[in-house]
Amino acid sequence: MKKSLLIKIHLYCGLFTLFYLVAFGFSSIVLNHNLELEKTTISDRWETVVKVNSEELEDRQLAEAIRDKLDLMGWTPFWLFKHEAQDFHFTITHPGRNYHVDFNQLTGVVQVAEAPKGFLAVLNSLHFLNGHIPNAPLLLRSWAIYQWLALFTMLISLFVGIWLWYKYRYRTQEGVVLGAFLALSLLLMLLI
Amino acid sequence: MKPSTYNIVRKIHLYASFPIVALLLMFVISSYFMIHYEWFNTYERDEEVVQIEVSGDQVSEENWANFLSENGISGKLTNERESPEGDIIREYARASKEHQVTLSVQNNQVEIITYKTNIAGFMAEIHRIRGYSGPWQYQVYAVLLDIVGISLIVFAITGAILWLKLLKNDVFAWAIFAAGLIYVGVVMLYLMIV
Repeated sequence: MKKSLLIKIHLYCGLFTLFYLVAFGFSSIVLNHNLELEKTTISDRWETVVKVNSEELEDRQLAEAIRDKLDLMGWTPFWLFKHEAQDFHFTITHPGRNYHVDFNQLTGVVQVAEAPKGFLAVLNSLHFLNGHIPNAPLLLRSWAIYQWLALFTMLISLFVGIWLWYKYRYRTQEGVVLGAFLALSLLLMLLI
Repeated sequence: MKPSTYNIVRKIHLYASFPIVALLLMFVISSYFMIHYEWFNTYERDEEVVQIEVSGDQVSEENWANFLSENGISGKLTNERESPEGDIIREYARASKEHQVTLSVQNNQVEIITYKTNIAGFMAEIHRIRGYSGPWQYQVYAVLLDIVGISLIVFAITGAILWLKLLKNDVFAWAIFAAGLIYVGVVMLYLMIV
């Protein structure tokens, strides 16, 4: 294969995966240092009335039914369910926002407090995002396809780049550095 | 861009790719094991229980260290708690196995439960290990993870600079770049707004 064609493949694949790499690099550092990026400030409060048969539903079903009636996107973690007199508290959460919900089981009144997690938390969340968020639109569900394509093209870009280097510009000291990284990572994987 | 500057950027791009190459394949394969955990039984573990009588010495870190060494328990201390009965429970994790050590001071007994992972579980555990704590090898691994994280960002940025130098007028390259930027940007914006 021609060198110019290989350079183009390396470049096109690299450009496709560019933003994913930046997000991945950022989240790797965040995870390694256990940094807390989520903001918790309430940005908006609103209330409405929903009709659900709360007596027939278990907590999880009730939380999901209210979420669907409110047309909100996100998971409803069971460990955040709480009952207080007639009120049922729960949280709807997705990578960009928390909705703290208070549902009055007598009146059907729902009070919602919204807490956006912020740009850095969203950037970090792309590491884990697989598109399978309840009530997510097609835009987010398509992330699963993008993720695999990005990983695949990243591998192609990386290995074509390494091949180009090895074939045309190999220097012994550079080979030693790559070998050292490979040896160190393999050794550590066996030791940890 | 001067030729010397171009060469420096190209060198940085090349050196940034080395730690990524060294670890990336493991991360890609282990991601697959984690996402399709049902196919590979990633989280199935063999369990082995051993009970050992211990003397009534005072509980100290030195005694713990000796006991762990004598019984071949190694890894990172991932959890420590006390049961309602007053038993001290410690969990030590390695990629290949996890030990739950329960010290019953009242009964002068230690129970060791060992959970062994399969190859998919081993890869998944390596994927998850992070942070500057535990024995030296975990700290070195954390340094390596930081190097990989920084390298990913540097690799991407220097790659974009080289693209602008080499193929600035390539329409297809601009289209790919714009598509990626718009898609990732819109996804992030959607998550922030909705």
